[in-house]
Amino acid sequence: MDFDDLEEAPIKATSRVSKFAPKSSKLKPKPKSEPAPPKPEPQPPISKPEPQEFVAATVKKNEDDGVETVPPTHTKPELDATVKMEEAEDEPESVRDDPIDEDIPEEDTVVREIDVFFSPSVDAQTQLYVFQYPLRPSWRPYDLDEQCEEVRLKTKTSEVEIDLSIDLDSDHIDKEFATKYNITKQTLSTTWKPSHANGCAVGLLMGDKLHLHPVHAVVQLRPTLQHLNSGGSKRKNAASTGANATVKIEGSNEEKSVATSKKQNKQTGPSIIEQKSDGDECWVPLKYHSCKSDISSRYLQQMVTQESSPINFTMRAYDYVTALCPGGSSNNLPKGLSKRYLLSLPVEERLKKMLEDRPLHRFSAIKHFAPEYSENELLGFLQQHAILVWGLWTAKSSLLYPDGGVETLARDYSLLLFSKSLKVQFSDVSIRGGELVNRVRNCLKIFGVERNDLDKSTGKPNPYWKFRELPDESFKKLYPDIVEKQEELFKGLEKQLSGFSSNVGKRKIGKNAVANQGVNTEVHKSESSDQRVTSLGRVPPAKMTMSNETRHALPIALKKLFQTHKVCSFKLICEGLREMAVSKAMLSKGDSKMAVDAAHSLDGPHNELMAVISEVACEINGSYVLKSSPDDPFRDVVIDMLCGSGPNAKLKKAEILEAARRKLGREVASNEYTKVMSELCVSKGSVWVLKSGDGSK
Amino acid sequence: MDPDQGTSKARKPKFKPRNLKAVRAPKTEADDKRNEDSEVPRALSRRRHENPAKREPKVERKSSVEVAFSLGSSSSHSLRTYGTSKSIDSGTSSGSPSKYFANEQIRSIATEDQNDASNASARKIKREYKEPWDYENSYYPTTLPLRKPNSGDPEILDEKEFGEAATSVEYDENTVNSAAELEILESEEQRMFFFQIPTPLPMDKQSNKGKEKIGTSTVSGEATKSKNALEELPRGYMGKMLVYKSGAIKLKLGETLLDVSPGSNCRCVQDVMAVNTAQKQCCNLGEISKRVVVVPDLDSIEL
Repeated sequence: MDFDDLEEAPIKATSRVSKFAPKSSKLKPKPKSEPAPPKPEPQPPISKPEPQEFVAATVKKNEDDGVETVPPTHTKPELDATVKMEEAEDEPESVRDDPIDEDIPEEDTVVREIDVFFSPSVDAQTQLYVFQYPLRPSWRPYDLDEQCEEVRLKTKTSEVEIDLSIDLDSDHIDKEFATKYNITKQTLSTTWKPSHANGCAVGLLMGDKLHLHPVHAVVQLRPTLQHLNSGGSKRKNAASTGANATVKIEGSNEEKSVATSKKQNKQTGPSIIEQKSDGDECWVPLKYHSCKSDISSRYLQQMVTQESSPINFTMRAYDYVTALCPGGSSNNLPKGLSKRYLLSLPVEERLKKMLEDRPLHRFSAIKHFAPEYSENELLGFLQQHAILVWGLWTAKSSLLYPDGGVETLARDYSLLLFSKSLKVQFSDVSIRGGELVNRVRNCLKIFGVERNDLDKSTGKPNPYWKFRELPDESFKKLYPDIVEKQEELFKGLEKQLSGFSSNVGKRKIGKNAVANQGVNTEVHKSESSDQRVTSLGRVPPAKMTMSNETRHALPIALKKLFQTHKVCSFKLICEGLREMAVSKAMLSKGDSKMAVDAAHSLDGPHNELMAVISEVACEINGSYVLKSSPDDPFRDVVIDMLCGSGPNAKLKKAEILEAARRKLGREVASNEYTKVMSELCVSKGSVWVLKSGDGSK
Repeated sequence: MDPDQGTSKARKPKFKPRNLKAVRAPKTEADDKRNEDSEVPRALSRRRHENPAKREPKVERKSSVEVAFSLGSSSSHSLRTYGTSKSIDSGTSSGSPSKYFANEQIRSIATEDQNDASNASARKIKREYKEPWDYENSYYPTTLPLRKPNSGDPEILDEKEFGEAATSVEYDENTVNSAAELEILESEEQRMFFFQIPTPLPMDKQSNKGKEKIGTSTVSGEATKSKNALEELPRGYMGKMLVYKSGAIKLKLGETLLDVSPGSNCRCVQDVMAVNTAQKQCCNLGEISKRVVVVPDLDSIEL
């Protein structure tokens, strides 16, 4: 505050001194005139008339300023100013009170309110121009009202020319020179093209209302020296200077004209170049009207007519600043709602807005935006309104689509697909109905990035979606129980959707078994039994990339293969199918076509091949064994024991017989025992070990 | 070269008739010669008191330019001879005053330089600043003087405008009294300002409204293209301009606040013209008094 007071004082002092400058000239001659009388008399009469002229000039120019002006001394003007200002209106008093108010710390109150109105144009056919005269000071303007003869305009380029008449009878005009060069008028023109005034407007302030009108162009007008340009050779100038020997008066004018012509040549150069390019357009002659004419006052009235319909400036402050500074690219800008706006909302509403705004959120980020909630409260809210996918929270479909419908199904299905794996193939999206497929693909784009993988055989692009964010492993470590609950939630979703699309349900079971094979053997046992039930009860799924012939031939070929090799690895199965096709093709029998069709399955994705193998055989620690027929339950017992023991399982005869007795309720015959064990296992010492899957017996 | 020759030629015929006058008064010549021998200040003081009739013989010394001191005296004489020549030649020729102005201007500069070197302090006290031209009765140069006529001694004004005190003052927007500079408070008259408005205005575009209706969860971040905001602005009421006690002026558009501050001063005259090409009219609506710059108030916006 103190510094502000100190800085304001010199500003006011300078403004006052500048106002009082003309009167200082008055007082100075008076003290000098007093000592003058004893000296010779002629000087006083010479100095006296000059201050009188100053007095007359100041009185004429500024009648209002005359009232405001104060004697030059600093002490007196303050006193007189305060006295005079008290007599003045109330508004000036408020201005004077500003320094007093600043000493006392008060609020900055509004002194005046001005309503601002805007109109795009004065008239449909009228445009506003601003004419500037750079070579003339403000106290010596052109007298356009009396001298202006014609105004010419080029509408496209906004070039302007003004013709001013010249009073040839004036004392300041050299008639001989004017006659010599045939000068009858003075022309002001634009030296270069005026640029359009973007964002500039003329504000007309009347009372407490301000009317804004956009300006079309700002034009600078300078005098042209047409008479010199027409005869513009240097020799003529030399000749004219020679003529100065006889004529005294012309010489001085010639000097000035030569000097000015040198300066103007640089300016006229570019204008000539520009005028050539715009030579096609014609000048539009306009009649000039002064500001006191009726037409001008009518235009002013049109400008002032107001329309009270408010313009909606509804943009938020954050968006406005973003519009002011767009930034390098839109991707770099933080998307979505501003932090300030979010924090102004209640907690629940804020969290819902966050979940709706983006598809995926980390728990730490959500916690950052909800400082009011404890972790338990926040987790409770999230479990109610959101779903956990790979450690990241996303809104439930019921939150985004309260009415449900197709969007809900599509979104839930895409979430289910991503919950299985971070990468979703296009082939996994096996749903009938084009509309639903498109919606699912749109949802997949929201949660993942779409990419294309070229197919090796056909060369066609095979689209797939990769999960957009990295999984949040820290959340899984910190809150394992919540992770388990969410996984159960997905199982519930799976059951709901399995009725919707049964094909997907079947294949989900297979994948789930594959994914969890090494984690939980009990789960595997139950699911393997489920597989058997489904495979026995239903026809294989119709939709697959394999052809129908291949799918039909493959089980038959696999059974034949397993007759040769009881225990096979996946690799052996592929090799066996190929050898079978080759050998039968050479034999040229009727079975060769079936074998060749079965071999085509190798060209398809391995997932489908493994699915078909799973229907025919069961997997024991990476190897495959033909499934048992219903009339051979003892074989199943042995297979289960081998699976349960894990890799490199070693079984004893006593254990096998005991397990069989419990499960089957009877003793196993010796021949039955020998048959099954010789089929599946190899005897090493006193224990049985599963055969290796590489084909050696 | 040519103009110099012209000026030299022009000077010679002027002196011929006046030499004849000098012959008529031989006594005055003797008095002038004696004065030269005396000291410089005495000579200056005496010449001030001499009669105007004696001006004519002094003109002779212009032709005999040999001593540096005589240049100063000749320049002072030029002021007086100007008055004489004006009264004599005003009826016959209109070009002569402009010529004398040029000569006077050159010599006045030389006078100032010499006086500063010899007796600057005495000059300031003794002499009052005189305007170089008669503003009402003469055709003085178009672009001069650089300040408004009768505004005072340029030395004093230069010191205030370009001196050390003025140079050290920095622009501080908090101390600028916008209302006082724009003279918005007192005046009830009709006045015109030249407004410079920022390109983007806080107005939502119609295309944005359409996108909101779609209701997509992802927000498409499009960079706002910079267009001329005034072209898209419809007719109507914009907002309020608030003038505070401290002199600050704010423009409130919706929820956004903008600063209104004075722009740079413009020396030349600026007229607002309403141009109607259909009716072929060009109407002068008035003169622009001040320039105004409108800037969004970033201090009031919390990000």
